[in-house]
Order: sequence, then structure tokens, then C-alpha cells
Amino acid sequence: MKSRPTVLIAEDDPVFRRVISFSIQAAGMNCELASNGLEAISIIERCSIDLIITDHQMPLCSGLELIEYVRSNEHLSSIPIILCTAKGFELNASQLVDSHSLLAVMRKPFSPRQMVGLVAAELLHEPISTAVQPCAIPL
Amino acid sequence: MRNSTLEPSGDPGVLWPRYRSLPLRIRIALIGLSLTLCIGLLGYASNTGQFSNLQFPWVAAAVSCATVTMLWYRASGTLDCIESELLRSAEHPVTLTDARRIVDANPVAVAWNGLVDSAAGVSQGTDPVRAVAALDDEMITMARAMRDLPTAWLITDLDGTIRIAGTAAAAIFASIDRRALEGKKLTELLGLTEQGADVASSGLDHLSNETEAAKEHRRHTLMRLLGTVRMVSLKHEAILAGRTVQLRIARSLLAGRSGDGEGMTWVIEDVTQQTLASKSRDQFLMTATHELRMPLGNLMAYAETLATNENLDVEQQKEFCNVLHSEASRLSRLVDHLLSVGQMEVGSLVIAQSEVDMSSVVRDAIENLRSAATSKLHTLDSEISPKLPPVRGDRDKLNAVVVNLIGNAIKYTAEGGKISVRASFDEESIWVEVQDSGLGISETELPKIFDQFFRGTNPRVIAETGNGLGLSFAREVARLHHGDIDVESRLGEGSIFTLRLPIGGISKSGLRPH
Repeated sequence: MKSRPTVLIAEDDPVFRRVISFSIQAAGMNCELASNGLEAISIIERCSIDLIITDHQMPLCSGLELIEYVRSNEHLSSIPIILCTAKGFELNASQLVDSHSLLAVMRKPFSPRQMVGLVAAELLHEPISTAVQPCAIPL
Repeated sequence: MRNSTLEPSGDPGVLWPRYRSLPLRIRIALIGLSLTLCIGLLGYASNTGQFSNLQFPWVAAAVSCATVTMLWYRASGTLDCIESELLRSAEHPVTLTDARRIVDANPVAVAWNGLVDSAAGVSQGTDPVRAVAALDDEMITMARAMRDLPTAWLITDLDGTIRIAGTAAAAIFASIDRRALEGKKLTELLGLTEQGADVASSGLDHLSNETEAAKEHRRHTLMRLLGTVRMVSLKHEAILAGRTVQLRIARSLLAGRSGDGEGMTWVIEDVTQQTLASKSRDQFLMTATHELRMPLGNLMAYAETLATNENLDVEQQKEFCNVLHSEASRLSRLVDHLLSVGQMEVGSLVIAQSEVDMSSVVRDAIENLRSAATSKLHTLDSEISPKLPPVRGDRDKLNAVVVNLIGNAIKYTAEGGKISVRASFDEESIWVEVQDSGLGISETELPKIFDQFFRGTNPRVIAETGNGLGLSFAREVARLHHGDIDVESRLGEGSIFTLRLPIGGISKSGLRPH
């Protein structure tokens, strides 16, 4: 087992990408950054990724397309995925979680600490603190 | 007798009979009897009790009087019947048509029977000529008013066959004459029946292979409309004259005399425009909330990271604080923008009146967007004429317009593009040009780009976030300054947006306030 797991962050907003990657690194994990789905796919092909955090709406290749690509690919299909979205309740989160076997759907605005808690629980097998529960609807 | 029986009462135009206490028949009998007695007594008195030849005319007069009285008495039987029927009807006007026939052969009885028959005929609607004649003035006025009401109304049989339709209904069904609708099946016109659907969809291929669910829905709608529920109100999408329209249909059963439904009244409203408007508003709300969540999410994430990470160095703290600041101002710009859109919608966008130096507006806008341009590796040049004369107007809104134009140029140009901003002037106007080497706009989309909520169909355009409001806002602001925005563009060759503002604002047109 690797000592430092690698998390891929696919997010088109550089400001948000920065804070998420900072939080992930602060929790002792490595980060790969992509600004759209296509970049994310090329990174997945290149290096070994332990978990994917992806935005829903991105230029060129959306988060859902990325998820479908990963899930349809045999040797990648077991990678846990967290989907972030700025969409509201028009998005059926629980159905998405089931149909694409996602780890979670996080609705913006959400707390990065909560997300890092989820990632750490999955990758570092740290117990999830009481304040942080994996859920589709944050807060 | 004429004087005593018919007299005007409270309601002018209506004659109510006034009745004496004694029935007609008794009165005739009494008059006849007293006449006969009077003549007989007079004859007896004039001959002083002696029976002679002179008595004969008196006896003859008395006998004929008695005979006439008996004849009258017999005829009065008929009149008596009529009187009692009329009395009954006067108390309960609705029972007029229930008046009974009289079994007799005299002319009065025959005339009465004719009247009763025709009244019954009117109520059954078998004689249209009689029907119109029987309507009183109020009814005719009401029918006239109804016919040309702007509401589309129809009256049908229980199976949906149109009996009467208003002019507005004819317009909905694209029929020139409302009478042309009479006798047609309304459900067929609405595309609710099997044949109706075929007729409506013929020539429209995408509808001919109607799905099972759609068929089921259609059947259900049909059942509800022709069912026995008193009031039905539903929305229905139909194809009328080759156009898909959203209809709101309300129909109610017309109660018959014995409590059964005799027909249906329909009111149909074309709500296509309202549906479209509410759809675009929903779309706008969704886009707006999406746009609001982005900076909100950033604010929350950075604030929390700042608060919970103790081992941040000063540089990082500074960086995070700067992000908080810029995201907060992004949020406030967004809120301003949304408010302006709201004001624009109701036509109450207020333009401040102050002297504005456009060169500083353009410079500020460029500085605001410099980092966005650099992150996409664009070169952003500017060429601002010295001594640009001031315009009169609203600095903040003009700034928003220029930011919008340059922002669009950055957004819709592939990385490493070239964007130039030029500000110049002539005797009358100031010109601000924003030229990019971006995607360009196709000829078909060019006339629509200033429409609210319009967004290009190019996938590269869709990939960018936007609500389709920026340019419509920009043009509105330019026009409120008595200027305008124009565009020249070719697909794949970039675009030039030109903002023109009159020098000195609206002073040229003589409308300058103070």
C-alpha cells in the first residue's frame, strides 16, 4: 500500500481548485489538478489515481462524462468518486449516487473540511469524526 | 273587461293581470241573469200586469237575453280554464310551458292550444325561429355580448359536437367564421381523438410515431373532458394550424331541466406565451442560483480553511484573504447585475446623471480583467485617445457595460487570443470598440445576441457559464444613455463590439436636466 494516496481534482474554477487542493495536501495526500474533464482523463491514463473529486459542470468534458468514462473503463471502475455541484435540488443526488456508485454528491457551498474527512476516511481509513458524515446534502 | 284585467304594475314593459275576486264564469252568469230579469220586469211593469199583444217584444227580448247568456256561459267554460291556467303560470313563471291544453272546438280553445303547443316547442329547442322570438331583449343583448367576448368560449353537446362558438374560439382554431365550427367535434379539433391526432400530426413526422405514454395521456385527458364531473380544468398541448400551443381548458356541464347534463360549456385559453415566459424565468432563476453558489462556495471554503489551519504562513494567509475579497466583490457584482435585470424587466432601470470620464472607465475595466486575460494567455491591448470628452450618465453601469464587452471577448476566445480595446471620439460621439480574435457569431445568431436569455448554440459557447443577460443589459444601458451597441462578426474570425455614447450625454437632444 502506498504511503501517500493521490487525489485527482477536476474543477474549472481555479479559485476553488486551489482551496480544495490545499485542504487535501494539508491532510497529507497528493494532488493532481485538471481544469476540465479531458485533462482529467489524460491524467487518469498517465498516473495512478486513488480518488477523484470532480465538478459537475466543466467545459469540454463535464463531470458526468468523466464519471461515465471512468466507470466504463475496467481497470478504473473501482476508483471512488466525489461529485461537486453548484446545482440545487433540481439535481437528483441520491439517484446519481446509486446509478454511478459515487462516494458522495456535495452541493456547493460545502465545507472543505467535510470533504477532506470523507476522502481521508476512504483512503487513509481514518474514522470519520462525528462532525463529518458522508451525505449527499452537506450541512 | 280589457281595462280591468290588464294593468301595468311595478316593472315597466310587463303587464300583470289584476284579478277580481269572482271567477269570470260566475260574473257572466250574473250579468246575463240580471239583464233577463230587468227586461222581464220592465215588460211586466209597462203593461201594468195585463197580458196583451204589446207584451210580445218584451218576452222575446227576455228570452233572447237568456239564450245569449247561456251561450256566453258555455264559452266562458273555456275562458275559465284559460284563466285558471294563466293564474297558475303567473304564480310560477317557469311552469308557463306546462300549461294544459283545453279539450274544446271553439276558436278560443283552438287558439289557446296553439299557444301552449308553441310554448312547449320553444322549450325543446325544436323551432329555432320561435326560439329567437321567445328570447327577450336582455337575452339577445347578452348573446351579442358573449359572441364577441375576447374569451374563447364554446357550447357543445355531451359528445363534444360544437353547437355555438364565440369569435375568439374561432380565432384559436384558425377558423375565419365562427359558424364554420358548428357541427364539428371539439375533441377532434384539439387532437384528442384517434382521427383527430392523425389529422393534427399529418405532415409532422415526429408526432406520427406517438409514444404509448402520450397516447395514454391523451385518452385520459379525453375521458376527463367528456366525463360526468361538473367542472374540469386542465392544461393541454395541441397542434393548431401547424403550431404547437399550450391550452388551458375549462369546461362545465350545462344542467338540464331534469338534472341531467344537456351540454357543455368550454372556455379555452391559449397560454403558450405565459408558459414560455415562465420557463425562461425558471431557467434564469436556476442559472442565477448556480452563479451565486460559485462565489458563495469559494467564500465558505476559504474562510473555513483560514480559520481551521493553524500552520498557514503569512503569504498563504494573505493570498486567502485576497481571494475572500475578490470573491465577495464578485458576489456583489452578481447581485447588482441580477437587480439591474429585475429593474430592466419592469422598465425602471435608473441611470444616474453625472459627468463620466470614459477613458478612466475603460482603463478600470481593463485592469479588472487583466488577470482573467493573462490566465487565458490572451494579449489585451488598449488604445485610448487622449482628451476624451466626458459623457453624462451612470459611471457604474457604463463600467459594467465595458467590463461585460471585454469579459465576453476574453470568455469566447480560445487561449492565446488577441483582444484590443479602442476608445475614440468625433464631434458627436465617443466610440469604444472591443475587438477579439474569438469564435465569432454566425449570421443566423447575430440578430439574436442582444435578446434576453439568448445564448449561442456553439458548444464552445455553451461550455462557458453565462445567463444570456449581459448583452441585453449592455444594450439597454447604452440606449438609456441615448447611445447604442453594434456588432460586426463572422463565424471563426472574431467579433467587434462598438459602444457609441453621445458626447455630453443627452444635452445634444436638448433634454439635459438643469
